[in-house]
Amino acid sequence: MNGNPNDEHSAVVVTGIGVVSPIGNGVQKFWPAVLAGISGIDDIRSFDTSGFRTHRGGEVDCLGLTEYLSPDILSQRVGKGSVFAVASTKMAIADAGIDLTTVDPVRIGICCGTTMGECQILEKVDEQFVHSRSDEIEFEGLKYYPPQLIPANVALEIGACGPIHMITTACAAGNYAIGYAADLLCAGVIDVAVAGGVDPLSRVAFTGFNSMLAVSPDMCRPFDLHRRGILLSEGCGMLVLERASSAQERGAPIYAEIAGYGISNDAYHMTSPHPRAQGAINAMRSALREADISPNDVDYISAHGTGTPANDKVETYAIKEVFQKRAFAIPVSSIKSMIGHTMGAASAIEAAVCALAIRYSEIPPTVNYATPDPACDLDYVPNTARKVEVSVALSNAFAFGGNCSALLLRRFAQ
Amino acid sequence: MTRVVITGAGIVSPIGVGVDAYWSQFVRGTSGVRPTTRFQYPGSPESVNAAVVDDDLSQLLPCKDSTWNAARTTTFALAATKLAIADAGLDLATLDLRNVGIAFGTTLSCVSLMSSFDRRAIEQGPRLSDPGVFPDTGFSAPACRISVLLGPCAFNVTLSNGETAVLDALEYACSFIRSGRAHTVLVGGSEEISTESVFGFAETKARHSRANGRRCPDPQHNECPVLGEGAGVIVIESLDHARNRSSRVLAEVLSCASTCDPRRLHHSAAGLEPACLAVRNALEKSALAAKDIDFVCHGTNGLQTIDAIESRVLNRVFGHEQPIRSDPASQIGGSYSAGGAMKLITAAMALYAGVAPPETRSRPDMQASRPINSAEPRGPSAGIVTSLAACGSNAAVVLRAWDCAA
Repeated sequence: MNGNPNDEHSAVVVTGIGVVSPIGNGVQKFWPAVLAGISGIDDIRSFDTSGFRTHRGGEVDCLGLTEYLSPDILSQRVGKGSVFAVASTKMAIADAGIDLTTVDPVRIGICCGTTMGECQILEKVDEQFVHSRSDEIEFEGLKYYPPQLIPANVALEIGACGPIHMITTACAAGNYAIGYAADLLCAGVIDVAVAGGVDPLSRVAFTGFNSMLAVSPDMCRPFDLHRRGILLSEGCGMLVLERASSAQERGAPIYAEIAGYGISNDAYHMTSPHPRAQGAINAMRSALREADISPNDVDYISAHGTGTPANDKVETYAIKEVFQKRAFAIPVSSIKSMIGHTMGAASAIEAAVCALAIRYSEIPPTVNYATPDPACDLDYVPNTARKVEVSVALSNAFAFGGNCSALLLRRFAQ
Repeated sequence: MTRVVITGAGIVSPIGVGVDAYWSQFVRGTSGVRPTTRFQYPGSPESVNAAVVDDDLSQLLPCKDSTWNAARTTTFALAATKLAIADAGLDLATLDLRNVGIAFGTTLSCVSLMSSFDRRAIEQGPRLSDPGVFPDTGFSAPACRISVLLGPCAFNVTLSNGETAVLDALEYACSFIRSGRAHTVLVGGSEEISTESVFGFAETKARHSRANGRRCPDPQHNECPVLGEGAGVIVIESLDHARNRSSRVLAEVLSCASTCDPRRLHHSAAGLEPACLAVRNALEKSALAAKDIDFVCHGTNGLQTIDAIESRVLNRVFGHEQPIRSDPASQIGGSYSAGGAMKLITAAMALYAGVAPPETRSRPDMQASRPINSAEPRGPSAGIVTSLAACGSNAAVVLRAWDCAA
């Protein structure tokens, strides 16, 4: 993306990455784990699953995360989403090596995405409604429920006074947030953006997806013939975005350029993807058009790849529609096979994976892949990471309500 | 730069459904605040809120079954959208809906439905949960229902930024029109009064003062807002698209800007400067000076601390050239994110009709430029809409009357 076509240095670039995930917190732990195919799935411990049909999911090891929060924040009650987001943000800022005290605070913006927000706060009050006397219900907690408190807490922690946005387009929200942050940078509204997505594990979401029989009882097997659904998880991914000119001026390492993005809506159904993948196709084509990138130039696709029968089949169809014969030559993988579906954080973490794949020329695998599905006939990088030059990576993310997104990252020509 | 205009509006409010009904009641100073037993504060037999009276909005909904699992927030959103489309004279059947987007602001959204879904699972066990309910509990459910039922598919975004969400959604939508990603966008917001919002606000000391009964409380006793609910949707288009279909124009959107002061979040020492900057940036981008603004539509939630900051911000920015001010929340309650949509519609109608609506709430710290509590006959030509959120975000939008801009 370029705010000024005559200035190649006004491209928007990724200079810092922070990740909180079930397979490790921080890029130094996360990236080797995702390449090694480590699973972050286990029996869920944060709430009682005995009444549910399934019991497994991904949970973050929170040990040490509160150390990222300042005493001012810790003295307040904050939700788990804010803890994840602040920790990831500070990891990303440290990774970018940027001193935000040298940036005008009103030129620093925050764009965050989520599906469930701080739902665990509502869930606690709901439990009290059912099990406690009315005078024992801690209504106080509800004031910490609204999701915009997550980017607000991030802004408070890093001293940002520019625009802050909480985008709640469910499981595509991370891509929406990164895309809009890039727009704000391109338009010159801000100079530095922290953008990504976050979602703590939610009992409501676990209930909902279980009720729809969309949750796998054991493992997530994207694109496999015997795939049985998603595995709910939690996490956060945050990126530091800057214009290339300012990143280069301060000698910052650049992971990748945000080349473009596309969003669309199926306008079809609240849960089922459009059978002809209308939204997904439109999103991918828009991203390619905006980035002025040919389908032949895409080296890797980070799939939405939830592991549900419907999504994986439709996503495969969409990729083949957009890339035609080239689709069979592009490696496509889903890290949800390892970390589960982190909801609003998913596409942000997957954007981080694309940036890391470009930096390190290695693609994470789709694990738990055993039996090919005739309807899913692409190269899914089964079970083993692959060393391959990645100059352009596409990250798909689709959501309830038909929201579809595709984010394109490109190696930045220094 | 592509010019963006407002060509239609739809509203579901405590004082009327449809923009004509709303506007006629609004300029008369009608209050939608009434005692109700539907939503109760802890320890109180009844509460005083600005609830939407006409719950039967089914004739406005796209199909009979569309409220099957829908929260009130979604029902309001769908009804307001249908009204806005009709008001703009849009024929969706003839439009390429790949160029029509949706940008929505809602923060509590369907929290009541989500909570009842959760409580039922706790009470009866999760295996008895209704799979048809869950998809309608999400923050983005109202906006997505609009796409699913009416078809716009260029993009569909929901911003949950608290009180500034709809003004932020308008900025998002304008950027999509100006970048050529859409030619028409439905911009709106929707919220419902629910047990959760009532209890949540009650516990934040945002209780309604009963000092003056059915009216919004005066500032001396204004511990807080009367809660409101409803939805507002405006249709915005590129000027070219509006002209091509010979559309009536309510107002032009000149600029949007936003900042934040996160210190407000935990009630630490918040200043005025970030909020002033949002207003000044919007003015600068509009190429208008403060003296060119003759109407301000402000206020959102009635929280005393936020109202006081907003008043001081407007006093500082406009100095001695104070424009006419109007605070719709004083008549229709504080409807959180939806309040931004109500203010945009109020401002657009004021500019279109050439009538500044009444200010029904006075504040000692407000430099009122005219008598309050009556409609102002002098028509404004340019207005600014402001929202300040409790979480610290600030947003401002500058609108201009169309006859001045053509």
